[in-house]
Amino acid sequence: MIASVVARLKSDPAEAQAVIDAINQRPELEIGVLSTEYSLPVVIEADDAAMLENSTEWLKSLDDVLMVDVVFVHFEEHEKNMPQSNNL
Amino acid sequence: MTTNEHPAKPKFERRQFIKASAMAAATAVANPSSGFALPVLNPGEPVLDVQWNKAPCRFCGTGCHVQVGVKDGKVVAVAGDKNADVNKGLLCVKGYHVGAALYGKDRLTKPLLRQKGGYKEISWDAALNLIADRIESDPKRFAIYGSGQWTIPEGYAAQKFMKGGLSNNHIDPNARLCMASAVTGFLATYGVDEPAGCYDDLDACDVLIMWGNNPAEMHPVLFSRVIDRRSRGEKITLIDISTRRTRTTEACQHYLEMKGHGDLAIANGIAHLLIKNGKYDKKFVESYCNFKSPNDEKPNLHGKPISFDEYKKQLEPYTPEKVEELSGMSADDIRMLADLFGNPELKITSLWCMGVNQHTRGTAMNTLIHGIHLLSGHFGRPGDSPTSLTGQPSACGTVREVGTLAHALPGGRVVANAEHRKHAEKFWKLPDGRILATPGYHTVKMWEKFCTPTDQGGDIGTIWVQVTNPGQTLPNLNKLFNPSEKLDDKFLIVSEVYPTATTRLANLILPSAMWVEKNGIFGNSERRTQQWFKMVDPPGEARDDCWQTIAVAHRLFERGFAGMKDRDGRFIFEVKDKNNQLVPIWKWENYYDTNVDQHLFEEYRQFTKYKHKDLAPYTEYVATRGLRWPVVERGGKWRETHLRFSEGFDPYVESGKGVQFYHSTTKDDRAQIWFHPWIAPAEVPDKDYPFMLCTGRVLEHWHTGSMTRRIPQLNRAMPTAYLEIHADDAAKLDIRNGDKVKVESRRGELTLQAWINGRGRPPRGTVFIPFFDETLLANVLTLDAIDPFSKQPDYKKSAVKVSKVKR
Repeated sequence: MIASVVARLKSDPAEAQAVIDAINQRPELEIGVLSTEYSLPVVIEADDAAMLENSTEWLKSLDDVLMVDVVFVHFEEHEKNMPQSNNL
Repeated sequence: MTTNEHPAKPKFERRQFIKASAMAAATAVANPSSGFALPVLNPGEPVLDVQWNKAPCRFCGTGCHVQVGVKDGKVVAVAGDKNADVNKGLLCVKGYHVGAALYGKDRLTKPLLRQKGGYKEISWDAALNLIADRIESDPKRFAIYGSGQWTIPEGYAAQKFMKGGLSNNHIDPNARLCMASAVTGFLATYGVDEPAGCYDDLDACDVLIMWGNNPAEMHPVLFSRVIDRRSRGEKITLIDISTRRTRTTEACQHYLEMKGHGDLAIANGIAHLLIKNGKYDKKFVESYCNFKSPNDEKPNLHGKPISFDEYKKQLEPYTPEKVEELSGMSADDIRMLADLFGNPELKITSLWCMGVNQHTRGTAMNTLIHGIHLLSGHFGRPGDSPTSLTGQPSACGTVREVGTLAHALPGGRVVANAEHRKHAEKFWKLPDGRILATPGYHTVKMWEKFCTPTDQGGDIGTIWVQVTNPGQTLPNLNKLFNPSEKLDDKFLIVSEVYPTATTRLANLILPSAMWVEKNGIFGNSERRTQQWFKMVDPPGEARDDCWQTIAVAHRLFERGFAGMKDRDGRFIFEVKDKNNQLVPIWKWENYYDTNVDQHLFEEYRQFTKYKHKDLAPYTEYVATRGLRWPVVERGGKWRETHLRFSEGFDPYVESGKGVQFYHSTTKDDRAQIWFHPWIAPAEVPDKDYPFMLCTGRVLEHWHTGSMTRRIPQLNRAMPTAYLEIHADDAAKLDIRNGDKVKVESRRGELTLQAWINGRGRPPRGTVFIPFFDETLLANVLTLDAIDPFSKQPDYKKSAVKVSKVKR
C-alpha cells in the first residue's frame, strides 16, 4: 500500500529540521519539500494498512509535529485475510 | 478518466508512478496556492487504468469529500478532494480503510432465512414475500429501525413507505441514540433544528470550547483545520471540558475536568457570573431574546416564560464555589470561562457531540450552551457560534431533515400537526387522512415493545433494521434486544453488509450494497448536502436498501394493499422516464434504468422550503462538493448559506433586522434563553456499585467496528474491549494491567481485561469501556434511562462495580 500525508510542523526552522532528520531514518517514509507554512508532504510505502497507521502514529508522536493528515491512499493490494464475524 | 491499459509495464515502474502520484497530491495540499490535480486524473496517462469520481466519506458526520479511484470494477484508491470546502484535500486515518472496508471476506451476498440449526439461502423473491406476509398479517405491529447512515433517498423512501403507505409511524433511527438531544435543544431555543453556523467558524474563532467532545479522534479533519491555524502562527485558545482525557486534551491550553452532569452546573455558573459582573450583552438580549424555564407540571419544549429578573434569581445559587462542589471544576476555572464569554472582542465557538447529547438532561444541556452564547452575544458573527457535531454521515440530512423519527415528517414537520400532515399527503398524492396523527414508538420504546411478549403488551411483532447495528448499540441489551430471541412470534429482519451482533438474532438477513456500490446523498453536520454516483457493483446478490424498501412496497401493491396506492390508484413510488413510460424500479434489473435517487430527491425537495431549509435541484449537487442550506436561487445561480439568522448572510432575514430568529417559538423573532437546574445523573455510584462507567469509541474502530474490525492489523492493534481504570482504584482492588476483571451493573455483567490509566487516565471512581467489540458488548451494562424530551439514553453514566477475577 502507498499513501501520502501532510505533517503540520511547528513554525521553527531548527525544530522542522529535527523532524526531517528523524523521518529520514525511516526507510518506509519519503519526504517532499517543506512549504513556507511548515507543512511537510510525506509518502508512506507499507505492507498493509496497519503499517500505514503505525507510521502515521509515529509521525504524530514526534514532539514538533502538530497534526498529520492523510491525503492519498492506494490500496489495490488490499488485505487478503480479513477477520470474520461469528454472528451468523 | 479511463486510460489505456499497458500490461507490459513492470510492477516497479507502476509502483513508482503511484508513489509519484502520492507525493504530488501531498505537495499540492501542503502548498495550497499551487494548482492541484490528482496526477492520475490527467487524460492520456499511460500507467494507471483508474477512473476517479467524487463521494463523501462513508464514516463520520464531518462530510469530507474524497476522490474514489476505481479499476476493473473495484475501488483501489482514495484521495482527499482538494476542491471540497470541508476537508480541502485532507483525510483522517480512516481513509486508509474506507475502500478496503468494501472487500471483507464475509460480505453478505444472499438473502438468508433462519431455520433450525442455522440459515438457509433463499431467493430475493421469497424474501420479499416473507416481509410482505409479515406486514399484511398485522401492519400496525410492523416497525422500521433505520440510521444516520441511510442516504437521504433511502430514508425518504422508508419514511414514505411507513407513514404514507402503511399509515404507521413506528419508524425511528439509531440517531435517536446520538443526536436527538441536539435536535430538541435547537428546537427549544430557535424553533427550528440544526446549527446556525458552520465549519467556517473554526477558521474564524479566537476560542474553541469543546464540551465533552473529542474531535481530534472523532472529527479529525475538523480539528486539523484548527491546528493548521496554529501552525500558521494564529492565536487560538482551545479548551477541553471533559470527564476524561483524550487526544483532544493534548492539544488544548486548558483541560477542565468535571464530573458527569457537572456541565449543567458549569453552564449555569457562567451565566450567573456574566450577569453578576455586568458582562452579558444587554443590547443583544433585549433585542433578540426571551427567557424560559421548564414547565414541571407539563414538560414540553415550550416551557414557561420568565422575566430576566426571574432568570437571574434562578441562577443565583450557581456561585463559582457551589459550581465547583457540583461539577468538580475549580471555581477559578469557572471564572476564567465566564471572563472569556464576557469579552466582546473575542469570537467564541462551542463544539459538542455525544458527551452533551447522551445525557438524561441532554436537551437541557444543549439549551444551556445556546443560552450562554446568546446571553453573551457570542452569536451571529463568523467565529461566534454554538455548533453541535454528529457522528454519522447523514444524521442531519436523513434523520433530521427527512425526519425519519417516530414523530416527524419531512422538512421539519410533525405528525401531530394537522396542517403538516396535509402538506405530506399533498406532496405524496395521498388521500386525506392517510397519515396518522399519533407519533410512533421512539427507539427505546420500540425495542422494549419488541422484547416484551405479545400477551404482555409487546405490540411490535416485526422490526426491519436497515444500515445499523442495534444488537450492539442499544443500551441495556438484556432488556432491549436479547429477550426477543425467546419470543417465537417476533420476527427480526436485518439488511446488512456483514454479519453483526444484530444479525445474530435475525430471522431474515438481506444483503445490502454499501457506499459507492450505490447512488447516494448525505447531509453532514454543517447543513451541507452531498451527492455521489454508484461506482462499482455490490457483491453477489447484495442490493440497495432503497430498492429493498421499494420492492417490498410493490409486492404489497401487487397484492392490492390499499396503502401502497396513491389517491389515483397508482403505486406510491411510481417513476416514469423522459418518454412518460413507467420504469419498473421494483425489479432489480431495472432499478438503475433511471436515477431513482434523483426522482426521490426532487419529490423530497418540495418539503424543504417550509422551514427555510431549501435545497437546490439534484443536478446542482452533482456539480458541486455539497451546498449548505438554505440554498436559494439568485441571479440565475444557486447560493448556499454560511450563517443562519444573521442579516447579510441568511437570505431569509429581513433587511434592517440584524438578527432574526424567524422560526421563534414565541412568534416574535426571538430566541429563548433557558434556565435548567443542575440535576444528578439518573444513576450515581453507591456502596454497592461504586464506580461511574462511561462508554465510548476508540481511534482504531468506527462505532461498532463492523467495518474496521475486518482490517486484520487494526483488529490486532485493538483486538478487544478493555476496562480503563485509575491506578489508585486498581491498587485498592489488587488489579494489575491485563488482569481479567468482572464489571457488573444492575443490568448485566462483563468480564474483560483491565488497562490501568489506559488512554484516557480516568479520574478516581470512574471507569471507561469502549463499545466497538461485538464479543464484549459494553451495552449489557448501560442504563436505558432517557432524556424526557429527546428520548435519548445516557451511555456515559452507569453505576458499576469492579472485581478481579480469581484464577
